[in-house]
Amino acid sequence: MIPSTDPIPYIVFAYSVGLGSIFGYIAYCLYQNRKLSQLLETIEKNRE
Amino acid sequence: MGQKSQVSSRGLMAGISSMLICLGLWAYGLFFAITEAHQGDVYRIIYLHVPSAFTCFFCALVLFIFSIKGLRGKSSSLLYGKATAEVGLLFTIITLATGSIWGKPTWGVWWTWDARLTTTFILSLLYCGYLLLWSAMQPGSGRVKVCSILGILIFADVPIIYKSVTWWRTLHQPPSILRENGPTMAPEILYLLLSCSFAVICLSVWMVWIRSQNLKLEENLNKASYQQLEEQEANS
Repeated sequence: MIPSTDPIPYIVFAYSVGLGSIFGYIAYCLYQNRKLSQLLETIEKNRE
Repeated sequence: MGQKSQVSSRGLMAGISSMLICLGLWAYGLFFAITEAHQGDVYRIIYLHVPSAFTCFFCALVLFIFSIKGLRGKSSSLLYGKATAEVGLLFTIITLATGSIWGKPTWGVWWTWDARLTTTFILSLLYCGYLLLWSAMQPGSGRVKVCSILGILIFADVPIIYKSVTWWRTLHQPPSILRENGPTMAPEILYLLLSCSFAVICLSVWMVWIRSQNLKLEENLNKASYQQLEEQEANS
């Protein structure tokens, strides 16, 4: 039996949570990678 | 060391390709896939829920392999283990969240202490425990051993999750893909679901890779800062 409730809000909610988490994590990793690389480069330059 | 970024353009391209393939498949599942006869359109959550579940199981398998390597003395594999546990936890949370959202219109409740749900919740707690242990313990052989044992225990939960719907009376539906008499799904839904699962697993591999690059960078940064401090002390 097809549920009587409107499915759209549930689908939108589920995909927002899922895709938001995945792409949020990827964005955080890429940002962190850039920041850490810059920091490491600065330390290397200071040592030289 | 000394490079501007550790992520090569080839690595970035691999990640972007995996993301685009995942987005394309999800878009197809949302807008073009057939409507399921019993559940209607709300079933479309399956294209995110099931691949996330497969991915958290896959991460448990990868963590198991790294843990075995760690116990055999390859301590560097623990770094990859941590990255895998993070990605595994992320996908376990997505599985629980999307399952809960799907449960409301189909079961009438957001959450129930059903065997499948409870064992998956335990998996998320085990992943959390692994990450907490990793952060709380000092680097060394003790951390390698304890985290590796927990990594093996995490994988032991996967068959329990899989069999939970047949061992106990549950609200969750029984297996519909891996079963003796073949899948119960329409081929159109099944092939798209398997494609989505494969694409999300590929994306998770890339996520583990990039996170482990960051962990290596953190290690190098700690070493470089320590060396700098030592040099400053020696000069003064």
